[in-house]
Amino acid sequence: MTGAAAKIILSALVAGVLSIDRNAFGQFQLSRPMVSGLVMGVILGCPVEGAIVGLIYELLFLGSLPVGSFIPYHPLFPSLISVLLIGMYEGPRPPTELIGLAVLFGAPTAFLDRAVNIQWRRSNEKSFHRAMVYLRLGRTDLVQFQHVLSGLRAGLYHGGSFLLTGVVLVPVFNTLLKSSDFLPERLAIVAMLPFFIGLARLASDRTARKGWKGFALGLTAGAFVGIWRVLT
Amino acid sequence: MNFTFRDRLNLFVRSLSLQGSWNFPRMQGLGFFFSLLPWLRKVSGDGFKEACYRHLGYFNTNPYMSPYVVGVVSRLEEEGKGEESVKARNSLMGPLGAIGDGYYWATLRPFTVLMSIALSFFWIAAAPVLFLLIYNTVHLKNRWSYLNRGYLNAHSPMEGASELHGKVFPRFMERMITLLLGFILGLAAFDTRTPGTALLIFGAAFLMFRRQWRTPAILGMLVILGIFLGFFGTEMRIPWSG
Repeated sequence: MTGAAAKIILSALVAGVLSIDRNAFGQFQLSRPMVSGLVMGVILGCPVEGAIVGLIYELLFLGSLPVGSFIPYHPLFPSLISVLLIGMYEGPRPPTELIGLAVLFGAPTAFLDRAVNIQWRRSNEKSFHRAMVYLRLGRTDLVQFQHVLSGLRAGLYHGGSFLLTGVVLVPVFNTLLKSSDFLPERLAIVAMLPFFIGLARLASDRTARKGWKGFALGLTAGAFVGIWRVLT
Repeated sequence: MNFTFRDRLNLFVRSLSLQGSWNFPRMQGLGFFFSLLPWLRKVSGDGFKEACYRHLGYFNTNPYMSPYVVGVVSRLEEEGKGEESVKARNSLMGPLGAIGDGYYWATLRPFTVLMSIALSFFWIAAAPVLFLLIYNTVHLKNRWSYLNRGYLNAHSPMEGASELHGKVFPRFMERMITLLLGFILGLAAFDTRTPGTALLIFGAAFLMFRRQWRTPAILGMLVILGIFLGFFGTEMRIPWSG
């Protein structure tokens, strides 16, 4: 149990740090699932599964754009939660079939991620008003401090929420896994659903605007390479 | 006064934290002020407090494009044209937001992600590295150059802004995105060893998106379909699972 608690706390720390990159400093895209999944996988001892989960989620959320003041769904929580659940597996290496069930548990946390993000942004309104007061007092050092504090709070909000989510979801996931051995195998098909749905979302948008020519050309080339890989 | 390397570096690093205190009424207002503060302190002299009031307000643009506005405002503040700097800031943030969203979110990121995913079928560990390397090199290099170009184009900032990305590279990326989408679909469908099921799911989702269904509804419906298929023994191999 101590090992499981340590893993959840460690994951929450990763979620907090990555949310600072996403919200407050740099936007270096470290919070994209392709990267965060791999990072979490390496930390929890399942790098391949982490990378796979990241790739599965990447396309689903690629079309969600933060345009203007719109806060889109973000794959940070889904990818990290899914890898955390896989990382909890007690054994030498988690079976691939586990990914489907982990994705099924992780995907809905995108709603929570967005809610937390909006809450953090609302909390920044107070920081702005405080900054105005400090400026009137001539304390520009405290104005700057409000800005830095807001950024760090992004990590606290996301990390804290992730911790609570992990504490709730991990025992439920483990109980379900122990009570029904057949479940991961039956739900293995779910793993690739976000990937193909994300692909369909982007393809629907792009072909409507740019036509089918490039897509058809790519599909033919991809199919040839795919068949060649199957045959060899 | 000299716009020294040290000044530029200071403004550049601070502008990376533009979104740090994003809030609904003033958006990146405090972040913009934070980026500009050391320069205002250096050039405003006795008018420092007024300069602070001028730039602690509403601001919202694409985060990658903000150094351009910082550069323009820095030059105008240095020349003592405070009111003009506010006008330039307000008139630039909207167009730059649209340019940045179109270039970074809708073109560069999908292009680098899709290229990395295509690579992942052959070498999974290289995909995130390639993505981070290309994306970050491009946006960091651009952000640095925006700052300098903003400072140089401060007297005709809109003209400078329209020429920031050129036309050839964005057009190439647009074309490649469509091509890569098809390539990944073909490759992934056969790599699952069940191309029929994969294409069925893709086709169903594609039609739903064309009919303007919302993503959570599509995901929910297809997951239920997937669970149903799974319980009847339908399998789908994960391409990267070895």
